[in-house]
Amino acid sequence: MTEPQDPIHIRVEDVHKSYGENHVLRGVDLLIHRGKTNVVIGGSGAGKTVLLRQLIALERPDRGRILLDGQDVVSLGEVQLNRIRRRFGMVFQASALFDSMTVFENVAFPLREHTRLPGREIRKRVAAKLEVLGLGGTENRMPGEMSGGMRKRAAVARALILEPEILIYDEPTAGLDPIASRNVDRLINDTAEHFRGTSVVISHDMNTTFGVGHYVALLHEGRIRASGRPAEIAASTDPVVRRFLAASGVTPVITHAG
Amino acid sequence: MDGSDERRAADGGAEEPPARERPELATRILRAVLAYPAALFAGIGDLTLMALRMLGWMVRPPYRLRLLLQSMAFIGVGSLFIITLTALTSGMVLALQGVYSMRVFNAEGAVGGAVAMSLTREISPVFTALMVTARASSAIATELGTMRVTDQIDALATMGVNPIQYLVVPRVLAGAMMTPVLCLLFTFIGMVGCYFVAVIGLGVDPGQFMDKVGRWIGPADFRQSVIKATVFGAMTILIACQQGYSAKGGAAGVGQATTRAVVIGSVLVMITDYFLTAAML
Repeated sequence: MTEPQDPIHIRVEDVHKSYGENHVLRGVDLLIHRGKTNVVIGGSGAGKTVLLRQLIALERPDRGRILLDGQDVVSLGEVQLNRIRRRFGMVFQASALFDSMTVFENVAFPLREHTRLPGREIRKRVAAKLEVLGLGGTENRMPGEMSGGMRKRAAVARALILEPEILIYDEPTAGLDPIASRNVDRLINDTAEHFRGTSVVISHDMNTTFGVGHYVALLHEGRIRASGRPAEIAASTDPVVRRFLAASGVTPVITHAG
Repeated sequence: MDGSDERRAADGGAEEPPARERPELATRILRAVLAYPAALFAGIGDLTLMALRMLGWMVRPPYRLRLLLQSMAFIGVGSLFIITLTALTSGMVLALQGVYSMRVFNAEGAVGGAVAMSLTREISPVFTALMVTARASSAIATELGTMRVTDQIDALATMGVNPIQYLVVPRVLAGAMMTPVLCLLFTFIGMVGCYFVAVIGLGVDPGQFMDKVGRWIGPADFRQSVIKATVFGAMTILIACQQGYSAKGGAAGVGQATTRAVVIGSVLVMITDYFLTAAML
């Protein structure tokens, strides 16, 4: 594994998390690189979602540290955590749009909660964000009336509206057909280019991994088994990595080479 | 056999007892019996924890007046019809029972006072709370449960909005504020129903009816009524929020949360009623 060339945004050190008898994370060490798309890949039950919940401070690890710009977030109180969480934008697997609100109200929600912008300005910003994501004119639709792909875009718009430093996608292509999945990959790449922040993608989809990742880490049995540039992962001789690549049945098509 | 031994050796737990052995019958019975009180205490613990977190977030800004008003409209205004209906029929049936049983002692004139007393002290707060539980608690548990299993509650948290403050505080406050109002309304409508049946239907003297009502109930009865309704309202909505908030396991989990919210809410209203009555007599 080569030395990382990009500055570190989040450093995860020896993070452990158990639920009762179930020791899910068993000492995760992970580096998230600033301004890049970082993919954490792993099979079902490897602890991907659990790791993500620690990363965005939805839960506290039993042991270990998570350093955001060098500041340990594990020991922070609830009020400070609320402030930290604002630096993250999160796109949930099933989008998690508020189904009692329109698309406009969903995307405007963080602005209304955290800024004192006048209504006109909020409308302008929401419309602009929806336009960028190809959702212009959907302001008054309810999430339930839209396709999965459109909901995902609306969720990205909501996650980006406060201009977070870090945008996180949880299983962005789970349950989508291959064509929709590649569209989501394109969405992730376009968004990364547009917003210039750090992206973290949690996935089990090899196509997505090599299609969007600047950095890839393989989570296996609660630990990071391998990490590095996509090309390094593709060329890895580690049996677990090889098995994972073989099982997914794809020849890696790497978008972001070294 | 060999495989499990190997695994245990690998875990370094050679001294530990075998993990997968079937325990003694007595142990299993004891465990099954103890599961109930254990679950009860765990439930009380979860509820207390939720209450404390709710109180903590209640006093902190931002205060979301709009959400509070929405919840008040849902719990209060939305319950008007069912409260009117149950109050009217309760008052009417109490009048019917009262007049016929008191006629034996030639005391049917006292029916107004007797019904007024039982309504203010017991029937209004308990029935109102049960109606709020049936209508509002079930809806709230379902709503919050659905939000939980579709990650909407986590989404709130990741947007820097505390879900307890945003979802639980306005609902519980609205429950505590609107249930006493509904309870007073219940008493009033119940008395209207009682008057119709007793005076107009069964010929009780209206002067005697009103005289006994005025003489038998006073501010103390209404105080008891309002205190009970406030406690019941806050409690049943808090239970609904807690059940919805901790729902898991998809649609089935939401259904279970709703059932539990209604069952636990109703039972606790009855139990709490006894202790509140004992404390205030």
